[in-house]
Amino acid sequence: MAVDLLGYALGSAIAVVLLGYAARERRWWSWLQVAGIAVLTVAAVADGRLPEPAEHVARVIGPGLLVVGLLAWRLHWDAGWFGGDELRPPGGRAVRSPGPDEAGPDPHDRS
Amino acid sequence: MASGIAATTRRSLVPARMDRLPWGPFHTKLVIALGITWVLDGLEITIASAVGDVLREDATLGLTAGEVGLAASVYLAGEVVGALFFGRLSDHLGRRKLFIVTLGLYLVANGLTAFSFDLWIFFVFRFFAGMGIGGEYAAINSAIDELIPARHRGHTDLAINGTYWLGAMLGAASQFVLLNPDILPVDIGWRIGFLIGPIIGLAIWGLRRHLPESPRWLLMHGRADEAEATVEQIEKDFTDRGYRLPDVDDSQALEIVRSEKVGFVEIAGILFRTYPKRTVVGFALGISQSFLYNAIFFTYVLVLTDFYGVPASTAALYLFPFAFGNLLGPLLLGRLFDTIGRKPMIAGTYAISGILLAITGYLFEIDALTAVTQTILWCVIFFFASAAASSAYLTVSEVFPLELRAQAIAFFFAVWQLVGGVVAPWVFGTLIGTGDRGLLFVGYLVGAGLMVLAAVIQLVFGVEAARRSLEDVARPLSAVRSTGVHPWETPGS
Repeated sequence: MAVDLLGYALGSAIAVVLLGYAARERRWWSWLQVAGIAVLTVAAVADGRLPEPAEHVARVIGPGLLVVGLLAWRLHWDAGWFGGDELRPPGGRAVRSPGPDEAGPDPHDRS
Repeated sequence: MASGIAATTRRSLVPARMDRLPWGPFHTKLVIALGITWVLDGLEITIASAVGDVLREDATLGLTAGEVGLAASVYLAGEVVGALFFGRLSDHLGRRKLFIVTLGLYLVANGLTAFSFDLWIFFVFRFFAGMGIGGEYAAINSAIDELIPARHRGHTDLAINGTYWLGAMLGAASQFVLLNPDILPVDIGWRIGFLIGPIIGLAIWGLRRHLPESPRWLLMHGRADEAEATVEQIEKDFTDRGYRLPDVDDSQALEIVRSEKVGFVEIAGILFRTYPKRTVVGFALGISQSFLYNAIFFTYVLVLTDFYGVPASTAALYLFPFAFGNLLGPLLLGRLFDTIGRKPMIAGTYAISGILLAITGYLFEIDALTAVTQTILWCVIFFFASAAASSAYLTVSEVFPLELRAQAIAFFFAVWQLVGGVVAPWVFGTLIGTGDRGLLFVGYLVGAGLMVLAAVIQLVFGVEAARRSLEDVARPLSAVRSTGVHPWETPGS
């Protein structure tokens, strides 16, 4: 029982961090992570209330979506995959380009 | 440093600037971050082999003996597919993108192997873990060759390849804890075994993501400005630490055009028509070392238990002295491949290994050895053979043009793995099945003969690449002309 609670607490903490980051980043891998967490949550709390095949599929698909989402996220920032090349200084750490709402006023805009 | 000559050509000193760098922290970091792959592969194969018996127990996955063997073949097939697939991507998309994605694939697939719950899931994850490691071989050998200065390339490559045996030693040592039911439950130990590699890999991820793309690759793919910027960054790292870098003479400049994607037909043409002798050397070096390693590794347990009366439970411990000899050879002999030269050293280590194997086989056949003297002789053979085998990887990674470097490595790696993993085990499996001293001696002679033949082929057709720029050894397909001091190799070499 205590182990179960510990597992739920740890899983929830990780999920909150990932969901927070996904809400901020909003890229396709973010949605994969969210989907993975959602499917895993369904599988974890279903506890026999879902048909067995559906529960089994959820247990396989959930971690898969989460892992692919996490891998894609790191590959973007660490290796420049999925359009990350232009963000990376040679040999340096990638920096996120500012979104349209974060870029501040256009210095050329004289209106 | 570089100036545009025409809209489509570019004059650059990037390769010469990379080659004139002294050894520094940048190179050490590079070797640690990329070279870890060989440790992981050695660890991986040793652990997978050790857990085979455990996986047959009902409390684990309950595999049959055939399924355990099939899992090893699945991993091997994954390595071959991964090398070919990611090798092509590495030449097309860049070394950096690939050496991170292949590490990621390995980490994920191997990590998930630890959570396998049935046979097919286990096979799928083993295949993808193999793909990751196979892809690493192609991407990383290319990156190391292109980022390490020419005069350090030989011994660096050899040392890195030799660290496979460090991984093998770690794997062999860890099984005494992980697979001991008195220490860990039988269904937990093997799972932790598969997590050791990903934990090491994860630790290295942070180091690897700060490595730059190969400036040589950038240059040949029309990204000369990025190549220049990357070299400047690397040079700055040196000058900030107080190094004084010598100027590079403009006569060493290359004129290049952006290279197009190289098709399979063109690659075959380059391997078999432009550089047929180098291709023959690649086949000879790789296949012969596969046979030598199989000759001993396929037979040593049988020889120790059946002929010298060593208990089966302790025969596995003999892996440690073997691995030690294998690790030491490339580390101690490596420097000579850069100073004495590739041709004499590669030919020499191949010939010495072959001759020693033949002598050892003869002494075994006339019953003149004990378990101790036999083991010492095997260790001495491995000392030279490991340097020889590592030099095969070095050779195929440096004697073909940059644009197909990773694919060339992948192609030879695939052929060698198939010979080493399928043909040679079948030959030696047939020979040792008889348990006859005379037939084992024949097996040793086959391995020895191939090694000596490879030595001769290397002497006749081999390329002297020691301390030479990669662009000197094999003209890039995108090169217009060179004003360098070394004449390029002519086609047909």
